[in-house]
Amino acid sequence: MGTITISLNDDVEKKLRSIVRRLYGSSKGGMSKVIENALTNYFAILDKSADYEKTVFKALREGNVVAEASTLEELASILKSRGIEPRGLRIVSTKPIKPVVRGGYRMRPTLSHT
Amino acid sequence: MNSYFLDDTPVLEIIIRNPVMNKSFPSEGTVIAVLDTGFEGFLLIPETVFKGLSFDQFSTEQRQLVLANALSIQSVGTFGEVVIPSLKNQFSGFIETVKGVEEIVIGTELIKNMRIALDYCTRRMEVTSCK
Repeated sequence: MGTITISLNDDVEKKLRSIVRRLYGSSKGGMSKVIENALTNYFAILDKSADYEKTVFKALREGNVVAEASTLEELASILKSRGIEPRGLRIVSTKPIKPVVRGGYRMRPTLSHT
Repeated sequence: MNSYFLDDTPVLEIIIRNPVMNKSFPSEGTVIAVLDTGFEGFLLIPETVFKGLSFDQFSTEQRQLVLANALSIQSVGTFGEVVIPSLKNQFSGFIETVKGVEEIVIGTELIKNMRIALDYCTRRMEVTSCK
């Protein structure tokens, strides 16, 4: 169990003390519990975000993978070094694209539609 | 100032890149892109920009975009990069186009990499990376 001294701005400190009072009253250790829970959740979010970035891009020609890399720059570099003509390649990602998504409000519904 | 309100619309200055074809848009400086939290994609661009970046020279993917009136429209796209100079960062994702689109639209797939604060009272906008 470590002890850390940190500085918070006034607003965050006020809110933290208010939440500690609401959740734990005046019992000892409440503040540590709130901060530990908050940090655990924050770390989980960061880990999820890091996993999201582990994407691999692949270049395919006629269904065959001709190159793959973790970034598009790296993929471009591999294709160039192998002398592969990029025209006609299909670039895919290990993170699949959704087949249907909301188009938002910037597009006019009067455009041709299916 | 690379993110701001244009009239009442939040916009961000970006550069769009096709690393495989070694092309960028614009070729110098940046271009304005509209933030649209209603668009679930990464980046939507006009056909002319899509072709200018040679994305059309790839074998492209197709998908359906559902419009505000519940009708759907087919988009074509492939993977490319968006550089955000103000964040000193770049992001890769599915860049698509549909017939008739005239502006560059940033969707939630790209927005989720950013922490965005919109203050309509003072017309201030603040954008930082999640990390």
